[in-house]
Amino acid sequence: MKSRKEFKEIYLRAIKPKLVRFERARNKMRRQIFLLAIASFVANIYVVHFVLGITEALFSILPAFLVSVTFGSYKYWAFRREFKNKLIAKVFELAFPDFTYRPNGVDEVGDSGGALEVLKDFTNSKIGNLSQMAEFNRTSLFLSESNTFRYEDEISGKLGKTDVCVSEVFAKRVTGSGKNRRVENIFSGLFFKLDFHKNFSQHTVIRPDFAERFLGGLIGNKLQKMGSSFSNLKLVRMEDPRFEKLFAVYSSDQNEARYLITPKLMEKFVELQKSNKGRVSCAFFEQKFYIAISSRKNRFEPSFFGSVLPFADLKDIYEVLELLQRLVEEFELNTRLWSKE
Amino acid sequence: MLFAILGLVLLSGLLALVLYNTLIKKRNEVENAFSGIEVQLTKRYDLIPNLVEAVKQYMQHEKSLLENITKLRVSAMNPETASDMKLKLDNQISSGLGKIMVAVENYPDLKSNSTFIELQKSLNEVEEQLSAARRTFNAMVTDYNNSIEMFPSSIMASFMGLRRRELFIAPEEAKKRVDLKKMF
Repeated sequence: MKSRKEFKEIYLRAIKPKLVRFERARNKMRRQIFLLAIASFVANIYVVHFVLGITEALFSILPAFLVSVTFGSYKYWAFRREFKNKLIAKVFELAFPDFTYRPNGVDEVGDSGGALEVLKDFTNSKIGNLSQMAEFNRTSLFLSESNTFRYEDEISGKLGKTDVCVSEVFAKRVTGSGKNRRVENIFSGLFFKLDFHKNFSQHTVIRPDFAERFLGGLIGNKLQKMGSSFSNLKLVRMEDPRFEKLFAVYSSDQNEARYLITPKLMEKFVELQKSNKGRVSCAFFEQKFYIAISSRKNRFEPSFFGSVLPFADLKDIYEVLELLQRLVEEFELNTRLWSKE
Repeated sequence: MLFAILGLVLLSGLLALVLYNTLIKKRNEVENAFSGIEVQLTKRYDLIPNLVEAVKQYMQHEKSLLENITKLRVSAMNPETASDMKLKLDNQISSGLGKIMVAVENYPDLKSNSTFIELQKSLNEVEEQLSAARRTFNAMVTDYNNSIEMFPSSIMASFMGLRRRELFIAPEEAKKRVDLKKMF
């Protein structure tokens, strides 16, 4: 992978000139939205007050507001689509050619940017999200199952012998409606899917441990045991106290859990958690090693209000790839000492 | 008053039943974990003849080491060998295998031999599985020992004649493990 300095050079030489064009397009989009909003408000007031003679304040602005929001959303979605499909994809082509970038985790439709394609793209991303949601839920990384899910900015490729994939995930669980509507934020952040260097057939998860951290070893452990008694994933106690304080391991086979989670791997998890502000969770499932690192940041998005020119926004791409590489190196995923090729 | 006494007796009986069943469950889990170690040991014993066969034509100076490990394997596999003795033999086998892996460093041809590389991968796999099985055994034994020493289950454990079990402690030689990565 290219160094940070090399990436900055590529940014200055080849990406910044393209960003200038996008900055112009962003300004144009904002002007169009602003003008349409003004025009629709004026037309709205004229029609409602002078033609129809209605004096209620709600009718004076509501239609114009709805028109402006719909037009604004459509324009921004189209701009965002262009930004991701053309600019971010170009960044990968120039700086990280070994990786594939898919903005919505599905193969894109055409390239013309017409209204129909924007709509198709929107529908495709929703369909793609459904299959990704099923996979995310199957990992049992979190106790609640998500039913409102967004999957975007997928980067996939190979680092050495290891297949890697990282994406942004926003998972929620929405229940009830009206006044009883409840939204539970399950996870938002980076979701890694990596090839593991050992074969395994069972299901093991590592979740952040709140019970033991806040209630102490004895009570926390009892609570964890009670929590896992109805699931097929049972609590597995590990030997490293530093690891146990931060994480709880659940598995359908405790021997396999210990085969996968060696003392060295536990140390690496402690280091990973300490060096990240977000919560770290992990699952070993269907021959894949999933890592979820929570974050409040929504990466790879073009700004609506601010300029798209600064390097800081593109730096996110580099930082995600750096983290990906770090995970492969720290967990020694390219080391094939075991029977897996 | 009578109801209170009856209630107390019933409650004590129920508590005794729960404690008895919990202790039996934990004892069985220890036995099960021990059999998990034995399964992995058998896998390791199965690999030894192939390993000896693959290295013996290269390792002319380590003949006695290879003969010794073969003998140890035969003794360990003997069904009449006691469990404690098996663990001692297992430690000696671990030490012997470690010495073979160190000696391999002196034979570049052997290090690049594809059969040997495959065998070494299988052996690494078994060693890792064995380590996991031992850790499971220790976790089960710790849980069991806590139960028979902590109140109130300690009372029931003494009635049942349950004794403290020893943890599996890796031999000193095994602790100084060879860095296998350097060998590839």
